[in-house]
Amino acid sequence: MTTLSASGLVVQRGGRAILDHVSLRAQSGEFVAVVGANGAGKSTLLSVLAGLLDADEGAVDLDGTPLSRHSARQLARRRAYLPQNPRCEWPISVERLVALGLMPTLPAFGTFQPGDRAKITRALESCDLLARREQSATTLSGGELARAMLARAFVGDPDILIVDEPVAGLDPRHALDAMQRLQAFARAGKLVVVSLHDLTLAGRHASRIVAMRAGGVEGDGPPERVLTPALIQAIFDMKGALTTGPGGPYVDYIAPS
Amino acid sequence: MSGGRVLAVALPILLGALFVVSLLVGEVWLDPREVLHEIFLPTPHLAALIVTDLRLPRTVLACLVGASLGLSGAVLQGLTRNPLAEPGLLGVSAGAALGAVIAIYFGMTSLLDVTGPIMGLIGALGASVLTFALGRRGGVLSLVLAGAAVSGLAAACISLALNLAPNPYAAYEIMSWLMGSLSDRSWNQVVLILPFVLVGCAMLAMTARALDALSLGETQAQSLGINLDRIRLLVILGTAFAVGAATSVTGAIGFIGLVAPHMVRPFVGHQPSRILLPAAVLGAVLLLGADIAVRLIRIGPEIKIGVFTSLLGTPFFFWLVVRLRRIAP
Repeated sequence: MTTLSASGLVVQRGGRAILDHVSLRAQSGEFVAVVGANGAGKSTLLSVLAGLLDADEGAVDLDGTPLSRHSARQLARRRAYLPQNPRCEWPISVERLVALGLMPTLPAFGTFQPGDRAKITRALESCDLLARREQSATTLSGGELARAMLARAFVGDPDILIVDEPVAGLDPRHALDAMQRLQAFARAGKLVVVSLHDLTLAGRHASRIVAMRAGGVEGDGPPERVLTPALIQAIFDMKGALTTGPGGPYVDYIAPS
Repeated sequence: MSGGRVLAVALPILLGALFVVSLLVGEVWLDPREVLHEIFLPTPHLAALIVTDLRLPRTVLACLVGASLGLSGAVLQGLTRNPLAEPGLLGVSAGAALGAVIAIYFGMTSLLDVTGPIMGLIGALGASVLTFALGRRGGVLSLVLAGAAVSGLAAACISLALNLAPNPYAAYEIMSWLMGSLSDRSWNQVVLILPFVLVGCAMLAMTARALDALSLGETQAQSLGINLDRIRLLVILGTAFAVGAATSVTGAIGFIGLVAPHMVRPFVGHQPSRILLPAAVLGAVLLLGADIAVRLIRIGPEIKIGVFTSLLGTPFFFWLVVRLRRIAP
């Protein structure tokens, strides 16, 4: 069982509080969707939770120990992080890209361990990329690259997966596909934390929604309790309506007249 | 045969062949049988002396300098993920050149010839410290900008030295040193820079795994447990030691560090860590080849090797720009 708990996080930039006393506690099996408008502090919160950015106040504990007390390598083995729109800068093969996810587990000098090739194959398989194994990562389509990055994150079998905007730039089918893969990962007993703009996707797939507004937490709980017209009004500053479509709960937005 | 194996076979053969040719070719053409015969004689003979005292240090120097440039170029291209990065990027080469120019300007080199390299090393280290201090925060981009600023400062100071040169001869000496050359270098200079080149190359080689992680960008590399500050420090100090030492002995030699990584990259599947060793060896091959070429080309005065590599390297640069424009999104 893994627990990630943040208490009283404050991040200041240019005299403005990007995060304003955010506290959050999440554990294995949860699929947490952090939602909110642009600039609400979602990405910053994810970076702090991933241990990539130090908060000015407050701390994040992983299993009761502050993140700062874990070594970078130790932390890298336990949590995977994908930034918004991850890119591959060299035309390396998809297989090599995925293999980079195993880097924290490699010995200081030396290459792959005996079981590593099988892990890479499994990760490629779980993301439907076996056929693309030898292809150059820079020639993948947006949806394929997103899957390759997910495979890169899955391959080391982390306890925690933090993904900033997993569906940014993806068409509906690929967005749904990404959400399902993340959901399956959470159901396999991992903690998944993502940031999302699409409340419908968040409502249908996440087990918990954390709604942010101006650096603070506006609502936190299971989707059916948190997603209300009042919350949509609070976080996006416009009217919203919740209906149920053939695919499940659906969030609609009503333009201010 | 995989691309990596092709390099593993071809590059050492090429290097070995050029090494031997470099010992035999020049003002005096030597017969290998004569050299082999004389080298084992108790009393030194002319052919053996030419090889051991003139051509061997020059050849070893070409290998050290070429390897430093190739390795540093490969590491810098990996760090910045920019195909146009080269060893001069961090201001180290310009700093080394300035140090050596100061030594020439104040006549130190005419008193003791190793003062040039020593001042060059001091210049390279000074420039790297300045670049690192200026560009430490704000990622690779600010490091590159700081390098450009330091290069600009060093270039301005070199111009000032040329401007204030007490006599035309001093200006000529500075100019011809700046063009880069391997001729008339001695074992003293090889021995002086060897430890710096080895330490520098070791530091650069230690970044290999981080460079692979950096192909996913800085945030993902950091999330994979890479300490980016440490990597930047290793790269800048490694470049200062290896390229700084090299430049301080030979003067500025362009394009080897830019070209070598590009030529080997497709053979090893573009993986940044696997480019390092072949880029270093190819750097040595290219510089050795260029040095042999300038010894063979006899049109008036000696063609300086820095001028020669620039002449040959510039078309490659054009080609690179055209190709980048074609594949850019």
